[in-house]
Amino acid sequence: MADYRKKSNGLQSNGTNDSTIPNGNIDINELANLIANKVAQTKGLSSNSCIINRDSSAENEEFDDTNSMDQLAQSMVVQRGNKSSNFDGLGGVKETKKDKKQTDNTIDLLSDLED
Amino acid sequence: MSDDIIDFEEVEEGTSKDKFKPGVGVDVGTSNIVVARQKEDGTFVNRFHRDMLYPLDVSEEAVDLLDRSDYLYVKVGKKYYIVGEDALRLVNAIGRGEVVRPMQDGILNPNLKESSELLFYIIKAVVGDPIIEKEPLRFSVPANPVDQDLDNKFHEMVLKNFFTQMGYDAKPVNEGMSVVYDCAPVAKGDDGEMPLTGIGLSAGGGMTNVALCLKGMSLNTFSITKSGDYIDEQASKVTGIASSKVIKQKEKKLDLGSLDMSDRVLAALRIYYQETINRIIHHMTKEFKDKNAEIDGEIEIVIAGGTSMPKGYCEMFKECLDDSDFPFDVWRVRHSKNPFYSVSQGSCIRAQADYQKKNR
Repeated sequence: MADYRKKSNGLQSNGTNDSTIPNGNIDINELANLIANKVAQTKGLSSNSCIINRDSSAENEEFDDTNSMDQLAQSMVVQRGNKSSNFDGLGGVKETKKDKKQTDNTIDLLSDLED
Repeated sequence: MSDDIIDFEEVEEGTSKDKFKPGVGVDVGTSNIVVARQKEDGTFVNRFHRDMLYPLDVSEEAVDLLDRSDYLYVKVGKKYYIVGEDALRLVNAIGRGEVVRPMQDGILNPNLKESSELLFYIIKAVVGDPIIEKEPLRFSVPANPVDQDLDNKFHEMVLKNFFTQMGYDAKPVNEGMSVVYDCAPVAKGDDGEMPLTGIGLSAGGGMTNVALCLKGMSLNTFSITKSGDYIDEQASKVTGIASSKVIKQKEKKLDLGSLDMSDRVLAALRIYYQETINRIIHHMTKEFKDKNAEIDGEIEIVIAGGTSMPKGYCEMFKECLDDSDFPFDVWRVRHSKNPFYSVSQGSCIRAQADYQKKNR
């Protein structure tokens, strides 16, 4: 299996790609960890991002935490600083041939279903 | 099914975009990232990359090494990170240190600060840009395990945010359901055949994902921990042979249909495979009975994933199933023709259905 790999001048990241972050020097992961630890104290969010051992009082709480969880999730994917690499496409490539009619039937059936 | 593996080929940059149908599937697994797109002629193109990194401090020696080799790397500040298979090659060549794995048990491992950020950089390079504005993308997520207290909601939100920032219309898809979409199990009843009805099973490195579905609708999804990595670790422990050698034996020689117990590594692997399959069937039986799941007729079970690769896996699964009190009649246990690519291809099929629905 041949690797699909190319040498190039380097793939440059966008640097900081979240407009709410003024520059790329903020340690977003530190920030995310601080938030995660804070949330963990009240909601049982463990350090490996898994919600564990929610007690009954937490389950009964009606407060909607979706917004803060979403912000936290966004902070996890911010790219800090500049990164460069010696690839532009990455990974091996494998093609597989399938019965097109069967695949189309599956797509038709799924497109009629609710998500 | 008439899946045939044809020769891989490189996709020429610049010409690939007009060949592909909108809708991309991404399998972000513990060991590999696999991205699937489908061409107009029905061929799936899977691009894959190993989730591994090896950090190197910037030094004259490191620069020299990288100049003389074709190792793929990312440079961040004062560090190089060798990525993918090259990370493993380098750590074996140096004979010290360990590769870093940004994923753990099917979900992101944010305990590793920089590596999760690098994982996103790598995923971006493997996935590429959308070919249309807000192109539908489905990324596979594991279901919550029945034998461990974990919730993958946050993992799902992080990935959704990431792909949305890349310009995709991103949604999660259950890993077991992706196997169903790719392998299309059929149930046989008095009224004839029911498409997309049965069980999809994805046997991965960290966990096994199971989905029960009826005519494409998910009825019950869950996962079971202790999968491929567990088998390797246990076989390594009881034989005293390094895990990397156990894996090599497994990939080259293991035949689960063979009863030859003279090789202790292969014997240990076979025993732990059987234990793992019995555990999967035990949890499936309990879950389906607890939920009173019912499907008329005989169902089909389709199996995919790297842990299902050894010869004889499906036959062993069927034997264990026959010895259990499984609550469904099963007319066939079928192995995916492309076990390694079923999750990415099934996710791609789901994304194409999203596109079709949106453009009616």
